[in-house]
Amino acid sequence: MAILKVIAIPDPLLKQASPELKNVGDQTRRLACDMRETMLSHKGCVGLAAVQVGVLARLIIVDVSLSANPHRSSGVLTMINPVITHSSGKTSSREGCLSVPDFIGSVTRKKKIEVGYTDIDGQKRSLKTEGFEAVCIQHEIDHLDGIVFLDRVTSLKTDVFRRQESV
Amino acid sequence: MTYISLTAIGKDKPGIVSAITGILSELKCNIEDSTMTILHGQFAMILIIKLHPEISLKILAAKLRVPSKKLDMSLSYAQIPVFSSKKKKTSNSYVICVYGKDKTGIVHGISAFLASKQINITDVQTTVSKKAYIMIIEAELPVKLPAEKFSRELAVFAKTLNVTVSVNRAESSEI
Repeated sequence: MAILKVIAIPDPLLKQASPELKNVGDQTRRLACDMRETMLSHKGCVGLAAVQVGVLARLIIVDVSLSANPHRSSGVLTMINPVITHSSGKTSSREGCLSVPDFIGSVTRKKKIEVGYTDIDGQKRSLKTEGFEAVCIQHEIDHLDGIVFLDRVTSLKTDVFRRQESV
Repeated sequence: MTYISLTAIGKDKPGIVSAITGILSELKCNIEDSTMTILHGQFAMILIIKLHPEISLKILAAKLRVPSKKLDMSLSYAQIPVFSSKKKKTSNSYVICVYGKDKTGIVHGISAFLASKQINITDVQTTVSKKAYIMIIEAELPVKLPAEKFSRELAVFAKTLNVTVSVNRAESSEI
């Protein structure tokens, strides 16, 4: 296992869409292990997409139990070729990203999702989740499509009071 | 009623806000609005102040001279017109995020493009994140301007600056 280097904007790789993984072999399993170790090496990190460690492949890992705040968690999720099949509702939260260091932005996402994926043993699976875990999965899947959360910012970071008056 | 703007900036240290607002409070001048932040190690504050009827700008400035000198702050004042908060809905709020490798001219390039489209910038936050420059603009798009078309044109223009842009409708928090 190894801790991999995490790339950051403006690295052009982060703007690229990742291709599907055709099969789950030792190479994919090793990558998933390294990604997990990389995630654990960054305090408070709850998810990582393969592209963030420089590999263009549709593989993400999410573990919201690593968050400083308690959240409903399905434990460690390793998702290959994840696809959101159903979604509903809206939720706004402040997001950060290892690939966008020192910055937090408010992003609106779906509240509940159902995601289909292949697990690390090559089994087809489906997961229904909501809240923070759903937000994280959407954030990581975005990476696979070349989207970082900055592309979805819907309000200023200090947006506590919105300016209404105009002179 | 007299409104003034007060801009103060100086090396950040504890006690700046307290010292400045202490004088305002003493002179019964009300802070109507403010923004304060640290920029490059400098504490910067912009205050809109409603003067107490018996206090002139001259008196306020004289009183503030002592703490500003002590704190090594540079202050400037301007009288501003009384504003009315009437607002006609002729625009929609959007958040425009711009990011890419830092270089001189990004802010001007983007803002000039927005100005050419009669888009009013209402708020800007910028930050340098390691090698990347991030600017988040809140802007009012004229209702007549189709947002999707504008977004596409802005994306094309952004390529000339080698930055990425996104345009999203501003969400107001509902809690």
